[in-house]
Amino acid sequence: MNCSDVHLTLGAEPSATSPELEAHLRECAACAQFRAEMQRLDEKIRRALTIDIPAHEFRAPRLPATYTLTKTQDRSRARSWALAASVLLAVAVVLVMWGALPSHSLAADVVSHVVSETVDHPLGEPVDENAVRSVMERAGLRLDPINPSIVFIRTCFIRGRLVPHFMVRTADGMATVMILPDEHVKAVERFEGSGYKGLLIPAAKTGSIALLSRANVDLEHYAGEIRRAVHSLPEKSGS
Amino acid sequence: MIQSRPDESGEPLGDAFGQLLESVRPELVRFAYWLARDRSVAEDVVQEAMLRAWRARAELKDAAAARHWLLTIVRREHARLYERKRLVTVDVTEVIAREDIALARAGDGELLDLRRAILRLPDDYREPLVMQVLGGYSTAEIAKEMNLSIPAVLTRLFRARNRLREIYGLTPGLDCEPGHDKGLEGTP
Repeated sequence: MNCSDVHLTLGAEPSATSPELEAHLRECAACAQFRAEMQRLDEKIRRALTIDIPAHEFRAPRLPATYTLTKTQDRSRARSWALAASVLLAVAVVLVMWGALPSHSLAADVVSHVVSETVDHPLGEPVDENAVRSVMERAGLRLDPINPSIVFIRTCFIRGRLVPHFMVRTADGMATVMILPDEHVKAVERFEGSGYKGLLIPAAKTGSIALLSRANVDLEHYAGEIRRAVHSLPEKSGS
Repeated sequence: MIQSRPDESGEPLGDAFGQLLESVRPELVRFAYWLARDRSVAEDVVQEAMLRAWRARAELKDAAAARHWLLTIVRREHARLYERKRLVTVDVTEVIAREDIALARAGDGELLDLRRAILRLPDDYREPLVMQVLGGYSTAEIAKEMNLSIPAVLTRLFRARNRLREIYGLTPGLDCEPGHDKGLEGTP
């Protein structure tokens, strides 16, 4: 467990504990301080969220005149069958989609991540070079300047690793790129899911690269350019 | 099942289920408020949720699980409200101005700043944080409710807190010592 893992764990669950975590905290004063800060902050968050709600009398909601307990149970049974049918259908859809995704778990994880990702700032201007450098360096990578420009970049947590995730604005629309240093594919793989079309491409020394878009973007064209622009950094000693 | 009698009159209920709803109502409104950021919407959500809970009360087998069950109904009712009404993104400045009096009640300035910061969090960050801190949901439960992976929930919780750290002048500073340069990025 390294400092990044500790920060993610404690930032998400300040009261988290495990033998691995405790061992790291005994050795790392900065992370121990981070935990203390997060626990103090969490107590303040709890107090802040506990706003005063005047307790006033609850009045029972008006119920239909025909309401009976038996009817509710019948409806519950009907709902149970409907739910069971829905679950079977969902499983079938997932299985079909799963089969359509090459390296299925990787492609599915990439799509799932992108679908759930929050982009919380305007995608207007190209992001600062330093931000790009910082994100790439965290993954042990370097990115030469590319065209189209990067309008969003952050480090993301996927499949247990921190990876660069960025968006580029092309003439045909936005495309998302994820550099996956620890994931390897043997050849270019195409996938579709949740409205996205995407590619997984192998990249020498830098694992693989995922590109996907909802727009009609020529992903192959940009894949080549991005693959040429990504380089591994020499490993730092002592890190 | 917790027994209760249907009451057509709208009068306060005197039996177990009614008392249960009455006792947790402030907590449900508080929870709904932080999801909706609007007191009247929160009241509506809770009223709808209580009606649903009443109708589905046969499903509640264990009184000890009632709080969590009701919070989940509130959360789903809030999500339904968004689907039905397609509520537009709220103007946070307006929300804060409108809610300041209520938010400032029984709270010092520091707490007020923190409340404002929580209101400013994007929905995707605020919701899991509220579910965790106020609702007592586990990460796995949040993931299930929000239809996300556990790592996605952890990332959102981390980023939510990272933003709130700024209120106290705490830097995201994830590098714990020179050479360790693999920290999570907070926000772009």
